[in-house]
Amino acid sequence: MKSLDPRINRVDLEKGENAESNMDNFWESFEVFHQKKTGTAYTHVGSLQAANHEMALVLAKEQYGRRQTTTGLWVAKTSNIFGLEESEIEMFETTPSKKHREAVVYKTRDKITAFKNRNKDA
Amino acid sequence: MHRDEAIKELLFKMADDALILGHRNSEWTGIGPTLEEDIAFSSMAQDKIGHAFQLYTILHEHFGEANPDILGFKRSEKEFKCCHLVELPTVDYAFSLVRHFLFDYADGLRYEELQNASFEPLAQLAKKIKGEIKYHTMHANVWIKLLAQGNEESKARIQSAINEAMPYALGIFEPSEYEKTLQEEKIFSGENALQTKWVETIQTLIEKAGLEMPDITILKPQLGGRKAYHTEHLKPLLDEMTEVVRMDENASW
Repeated sequence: MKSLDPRINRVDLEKGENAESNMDNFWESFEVFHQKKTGTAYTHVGSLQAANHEMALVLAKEQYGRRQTTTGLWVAKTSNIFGLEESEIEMFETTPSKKHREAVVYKTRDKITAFKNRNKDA
Repeated sequence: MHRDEAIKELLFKMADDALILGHRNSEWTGIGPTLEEDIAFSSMAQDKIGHAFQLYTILHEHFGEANPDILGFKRSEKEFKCCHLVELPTVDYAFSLVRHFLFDYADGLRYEELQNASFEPLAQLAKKIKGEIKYHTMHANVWIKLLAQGNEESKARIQSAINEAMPYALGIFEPSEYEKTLQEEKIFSGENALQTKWVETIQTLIEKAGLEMPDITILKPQLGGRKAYHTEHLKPLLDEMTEVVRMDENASW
C-alpha cells in the first residue's frame, strides 16, 4: 500500500535532480492499530513516520494511545500492507436478487431474537 | 524535626529537577525533528512539569510550604535545588536526548525505590507515575540505540553528548546532609546507592547500543545545585519561565 501521509507524497513531488531526502533513507511510513479493551479487535487508527518498528510503537503510544484507554498497540510497515486496487472493488457488486447472501440479514434476526428474549425475562 | 527536613530536601530537589527539565525539554515544542517526535517529547516535558506540581503539592499540604504556583514561579534561583544537568541550555537534539536518557533512568530508579518509602504521600505518588516513567526511559533508550546504530555522524554526536553530559549527570547524586536520616527513617537508601544502581543500568544500555561508557572514576562531578549554587543558565531560564506571571502578579488563572 502506498502511504497516505502527505509528507511522503510531498517528498516525492519535490524530488528534483539532486534533491535527496533523509526521509527516504531513514524514515518509513507505519500503520497503527489500536485496541481499546482486552479481547476486542484492533482498529486501524492512522499512520506515522518512524525509523523502525520499535520507534513506531514508542511514537504511536503518544500519537494514538494518549487520548483513550489502550490495552494494545500494533504497528506494521505501510509497504507490508496489501490491498485491492480501487478498480478491483467492482467485484463486490452483486445483483439485488442475491441480497440474501449478505450475512447482515441473519445478524439482524439474531439481535431481534435476543431483544425479545430479554423482554420476556423482564 | 530531622525527618521533616530530610523529606523536604528530597522533595524540593526532585521537584526542581522535574520543573526545570520539563521547561528545557518543552523548548522543542513545535520545532522537534519530526511531528511524531515533537508530540512525544512535548508530552513527556508536560509529564515532568506534572511531577513537579505533585511534589510541590505534597510540600504545600504536608509541610506548610507555599502553594505549587508560588513554589514554581515565585522563587529566586538561590532557592532552587535542581542539579546543573537540567539547567544546561538546549544545544541540539543529541544533547537533549542524552540528557533525557541519563536523567530519566536515574529518576526511574529513584521513584522505583520510593514506592516503598515510609512517607506515604511520596510512596503513593511514586506508584501513580510509574507508568509515565516507564515510557520516558523506553523512549530514551529506543532513540539512543537508533542513533548509535544510525550512521557515523549520528553515533559520534551521541557519543560526544554522553561524554559532555556525564560529569553533570553525576551531579544528580550530590549527597545531602540528610542521607543518614532518610535511611534510618526508611524513606530512601541515599544518593550513593542510587548512583551505583544507575551506573550499572546505563552502562549496560550504553554498551549494548555500541557506545562507550566514560570512565566516571576520573570525572569531576558537577556539584553545587543541591546547595543552591547554580550555573549561569538557570536565571535566564527562570526569567523566561516566569515572564507571563510577572506581567500581572495578581491575575487569577
